[in-house]
Amino acid sequence: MSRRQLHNLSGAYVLNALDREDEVAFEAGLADSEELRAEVIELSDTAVALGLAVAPVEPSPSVRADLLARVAQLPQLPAIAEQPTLDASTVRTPGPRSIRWKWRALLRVPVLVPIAAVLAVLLAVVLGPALLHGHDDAALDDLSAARDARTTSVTMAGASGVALLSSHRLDAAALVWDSLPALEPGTVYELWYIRGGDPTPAGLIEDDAVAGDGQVLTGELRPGVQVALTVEPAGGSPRPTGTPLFVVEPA
Amino acid sequence: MPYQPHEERLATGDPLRSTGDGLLERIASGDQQAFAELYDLLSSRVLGLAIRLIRDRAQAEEVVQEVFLEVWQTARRFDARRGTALTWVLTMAHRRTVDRIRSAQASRDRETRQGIRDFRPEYDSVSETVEVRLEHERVRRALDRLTALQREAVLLAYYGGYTSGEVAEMLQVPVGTVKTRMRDGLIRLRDELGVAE
Repeated sequence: MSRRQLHNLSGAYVLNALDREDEVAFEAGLADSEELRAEVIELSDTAVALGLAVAPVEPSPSVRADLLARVAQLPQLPAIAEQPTLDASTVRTPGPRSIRWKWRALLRVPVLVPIAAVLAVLLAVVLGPALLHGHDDAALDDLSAARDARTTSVTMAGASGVALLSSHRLDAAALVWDSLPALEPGTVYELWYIRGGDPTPAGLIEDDAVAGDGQVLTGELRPGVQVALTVEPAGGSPRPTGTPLFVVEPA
Repeated sequence: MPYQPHEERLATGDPLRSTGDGLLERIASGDQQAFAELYDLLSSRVLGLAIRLIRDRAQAEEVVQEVFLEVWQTARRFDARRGTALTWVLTMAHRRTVDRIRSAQASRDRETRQGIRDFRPEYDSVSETVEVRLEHERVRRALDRLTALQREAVLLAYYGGYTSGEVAEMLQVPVGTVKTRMRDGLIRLRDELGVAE
């Protein structure tokens, strides 16, 4: 699509009237055009005037109470840091792994982020690439940066900082954690997508990752699926043999 | 003329436009009190818009839930240079409502959604305020300055949640024309709204 054609889509984009294909093309264009971004901001501001011309309606009090209870438990996604915050000449530009490091660091810190935590995040950004050993980092970063990325906190005995990150736009989910209980020799963690009671393997987590990592699930995140984790013999199982350590529905 | 955000041009002493950004900054640092304040400020706007589009209160309240959870989760990604908190939240609300309409596209509620070719906000609403009436009047007058095709294309998309393809079919014009009218219609609307009263 030419630049001009792309530009012509800005109104429909702001009105959420593009089909998915055009929208993806437009957003790619948006990423490299300051002019296009400025236009979208202006037109969005205009569209909001249409939104404000509608009579407001007070939600039921239960909606508020429910939301406040939920956010008290819900981790916030990290900012997307494209540029390092420290002087660029002294700090290596963080590689694609930096986001997940920030992500994890943020899961660890309490609700109010103190200066120390900010420093820890910066340190993690600098040191992260050197320390990490994981895989599919790019996929995890894409997921973390997805516009509709959501987190669902996961409660799991003996584990900390566990959350499921999901995006229906990308049809993908990832499990992130600070620490998982150490595994018995000869066993692995196995992730599952469960659809209508039917589990499908969604990847293995080996012992060397228990101290903190994140992993994108293999296979697509379909509407209505649940995600579960079990312990399985090394090499994994085609069907779960262990008791689920958690079963969670992605947000 | 350089672009000035609406809140400068349309300022009505309305807290909607001024306090949102500061609240979001606090929410980004995990402040639940600020979150509650932002909710109190904007939730009725989000619900009003969602009901207008989806015509079902229960589903519209689910949109409110979704939108505010997203506000909480992504507050650190809010960038004040890219628009105000008000714009951010209402844009998200529109987006989420439209997503919901599209995912339920097969169902009949689409047919039963009220005709929206005429701009008729609900004056009978008990919660309506003077401020909404003013905003409405201002927008209605600005909309009157658009061509019929611009107006219909913009309104069908914004209040009806229709895609440009659907709008093209409804209005019997090529889809490329619809997209163009949506853009020049919004630009015209922006300029009309910017005219000092």
